[in-house]
Amino acid sequence: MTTAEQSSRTMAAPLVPPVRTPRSVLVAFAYVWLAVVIVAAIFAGVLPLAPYDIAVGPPRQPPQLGSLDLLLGTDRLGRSLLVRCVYGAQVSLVVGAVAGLAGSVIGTALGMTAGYLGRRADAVIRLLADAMLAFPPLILLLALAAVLTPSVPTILVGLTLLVVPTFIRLARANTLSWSAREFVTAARNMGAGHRRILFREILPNLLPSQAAYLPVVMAALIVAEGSLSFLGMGIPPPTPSWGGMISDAKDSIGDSPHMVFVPAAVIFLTVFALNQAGDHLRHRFDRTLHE
Amino acid sequence: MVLTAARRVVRSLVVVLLVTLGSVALLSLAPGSAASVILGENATPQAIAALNSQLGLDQPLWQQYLHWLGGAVTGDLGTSPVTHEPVVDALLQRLPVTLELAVMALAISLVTSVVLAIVSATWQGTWVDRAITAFSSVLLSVPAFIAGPLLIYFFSLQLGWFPVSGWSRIDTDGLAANLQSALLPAVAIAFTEIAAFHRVLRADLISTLREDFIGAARAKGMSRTYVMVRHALRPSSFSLITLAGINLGRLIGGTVVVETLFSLPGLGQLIISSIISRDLIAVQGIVVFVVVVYVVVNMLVDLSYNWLDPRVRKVAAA
Repeated sequence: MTTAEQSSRTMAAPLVPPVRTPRSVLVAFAYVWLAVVIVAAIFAGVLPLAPYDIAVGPPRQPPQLGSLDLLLGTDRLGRSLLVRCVYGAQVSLVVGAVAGLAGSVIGTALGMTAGYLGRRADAVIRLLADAMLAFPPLILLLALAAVLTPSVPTILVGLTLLVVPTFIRLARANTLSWSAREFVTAARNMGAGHRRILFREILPNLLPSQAAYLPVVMAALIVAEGSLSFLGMGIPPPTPSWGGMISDAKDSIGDSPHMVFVPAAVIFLTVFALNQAGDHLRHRFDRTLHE
Repeated sequence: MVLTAARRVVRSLVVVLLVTLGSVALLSLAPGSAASVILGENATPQAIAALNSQLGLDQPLWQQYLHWLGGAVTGDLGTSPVTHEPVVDALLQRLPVTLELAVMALAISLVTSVVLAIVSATWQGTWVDRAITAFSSVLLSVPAFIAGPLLIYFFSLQLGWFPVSGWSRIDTDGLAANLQSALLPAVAIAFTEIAAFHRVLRADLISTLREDFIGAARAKGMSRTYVMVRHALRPSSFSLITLAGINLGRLIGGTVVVETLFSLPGLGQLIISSIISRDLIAVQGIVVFVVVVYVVVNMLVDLSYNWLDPRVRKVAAA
């Protein structure tokens, strides 16, 4: 819901839409926060911070000024919450980005095949997507966790599986509408093969809408990984993860609530920022929203 | 119309078959086989082989699957090798807690979001609408595993209105205690759904309000509230109902989280304890049960359009 859309409504639907208004404060904030998290995660090793697995002070210290390591307080083993949040960002971002990208590549490839070839390929791929969507997300991850030992690679596999069907549907729908366009017919008449049409004519038009979905998908993946770690079925300790930090601290929430609030705030801000960024990008690049 | 409905049912049936096949295959691919879990770490290879053939795990996959399917349709999902209890019994014993949580969370999120969406759409573009929309995008980013601890901290520990954890049974502790123990977990799951539902319904209401029949109803002198509730709400509720069906999946995931956090004896707690004790037969039974329920609910949602909107009936018949 951008401000442009709202102002157009109050003015009783003018024929020409008003010029796009500048971004909102929230969207700007979202991009700044994402930049901070990404920079912190990339340069975690270079920053003047203690290691994530040793105690930097007494346990359960509340947030305090003075030392950078103690800025957000310490957990029940005296480890710095700030440091663990920074290293947890590495896990969350890697998991979100890798699974999101892998899922979007696989899903887009399958969806394009289905939309372009139609008939039997379409029927088979749609059935596959339906079957994958039949698993509630967390239940699929738990079923995999029951069979495979939890580790970063196995969690990546599970999260990728979650994303694939969404991108199949998106790519299939967009491929159907693009392949009916004149320039595709023109290319075919000039003797272009399937591969050329798919990669040179259709794919470039799909990319903006597929990419605009990535932030929202990443937010969902970070939540999924957080839930899994919260349940103790995610990234195994001592590697810090945001969900694991909350799970670790939840029993002492009465005495040291900051141990829950700090990682909770980090997850909330990151998911919120990704959702805002995603809405912003979708409004700009997703044609299906405007038609 | 009957043909469309039949096609939808067949499609769901095929999906259920595929999904159950996948679950059975997953179990037989597991590295630590069911037999080694039952017999313990020190079992001899001969004993494992003997038990594998007794359980039918040495047969080809399709035979295992047919055998499993034969049991499943007659209500037999196997017996847990850990608790020696039929999986169906454990499942049915835990089901009411999860069902109550899910229904309560769904009711809370639907009622709240419908009210918020009506307010948003009535005063669209004003500060009221902007405030509600901002509130809803905040809620959208609060998953159950964050909402739960926060609610416990403020409402159970600081205010003391609700128990910190535990479940009060309706038959022994009474309805009030039961609702008191279920409310916080249900609200924790409802947060994200309120936001998602509000978004969709607000957008649909706004586009419905632009239609001619709304103007006609207003011109006849009907009040704004009457037109909103009796004329605009029903044709605007399709995306909401579809989304409610789809988001049931996320809601089920949410029940697993809050059942663990609040220690409630539901299906979610059962699946977690089964995973920890490597009781794969129980995990498989629960997963299959949840998936089938989810598929059936979404099928019913699709079929309900016919009943909800006469226009769909005509299009399907033509």
